[in-house]
Amino acid sequence: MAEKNLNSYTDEELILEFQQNNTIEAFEILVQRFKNPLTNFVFRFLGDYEACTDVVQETFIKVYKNKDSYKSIAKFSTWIYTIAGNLAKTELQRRKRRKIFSINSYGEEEETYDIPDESYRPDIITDSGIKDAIIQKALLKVSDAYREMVILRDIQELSYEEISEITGVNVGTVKSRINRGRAQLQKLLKDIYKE
Amino acid sequence: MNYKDDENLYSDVIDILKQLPKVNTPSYFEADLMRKINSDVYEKEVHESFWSRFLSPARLLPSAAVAIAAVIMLFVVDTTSVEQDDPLSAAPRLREDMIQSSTSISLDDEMERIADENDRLLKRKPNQSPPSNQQSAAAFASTSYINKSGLNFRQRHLTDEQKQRLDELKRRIMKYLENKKQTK
Repeated sequence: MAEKNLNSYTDEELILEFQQNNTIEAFEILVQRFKNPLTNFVFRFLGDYEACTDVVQETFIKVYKNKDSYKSIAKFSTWIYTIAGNLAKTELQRRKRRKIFSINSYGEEEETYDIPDESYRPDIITDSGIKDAIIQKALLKVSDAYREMVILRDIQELSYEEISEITGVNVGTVKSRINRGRAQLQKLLKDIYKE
Repeated sequence: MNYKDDENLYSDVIDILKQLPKVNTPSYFEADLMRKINSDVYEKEVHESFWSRFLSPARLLPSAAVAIAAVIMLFVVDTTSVEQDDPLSAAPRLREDMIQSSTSISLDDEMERIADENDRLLKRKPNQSPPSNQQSAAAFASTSYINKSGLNFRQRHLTDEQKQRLDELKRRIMKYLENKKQTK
């Protein structure tokens, strides 16, 4: 009965319930609501499913431990996306450091170029899975700051104002960064449009 | 140009991104999450209990006392530093045993007085008993500020004239002592 009532709560009401009464059911409902959107966001940002799962779990652990840090003046979704975004960026930096270390250790370098991937031809792309992989690969080549905002806007479909709150950047900068990210993607995926 | 125009400009990119399949969590996600949360809570409890035990008054007070004692030893009882007076700036120490009162008798007067006393003894009648050794020693001591028993004497540089007079005085004392022996 109580669980049914909690399901009708808004996100903000649920986190308040969790804050005030330590109701684990409220937290579990929030996990149910946000686990897939966050996974989608973090996966598109990192491009690694296992790492993405760990980041999303860490996000919920942070919410659980620091539930009192949430202030009711902000939307819960904004708060949790901010946490997930920060953790995803930290993971990305860790991966970059690891990559630099491996280059220094073994003298090998993984080459990345900001040019369209020539390893595929549009006329042989028939499988949607491959196409998705190409898009994901192109997305990962977009600058980190632009990629995060493009994902939040065009994949997660958040408003510019929400993205501004999540990233801590003013709305004008958010719009310009999103457009720059889109321009980079357009250049990287020019062959896919012809399909 | 507003953001609607921007979205029209990049509509192809936006469409492609919107068509991407949604990525979902694995089936074990929630169970794994709750396991991690519970293990974290357990670790926190263990951690807190360790600190609460460590910070209990029974353990904290002796530690605090030792720490305070160490600080006192370090700053108050500084055994390493030796305070030394600057020999150039320090005033010389005043030796009380060397202070001579302004009223003390000069050496010349002293010698004169002893010489007079010797003359008086020499001119004394033979039947007159000489003063006892104690009396003469007391008379000598009373007139002298030199006290060898307490190493309380001072060294003076004498002029040639004073040395001659002192030798004369010694000679007369020796003569007095010889006369004294003969009278015995």
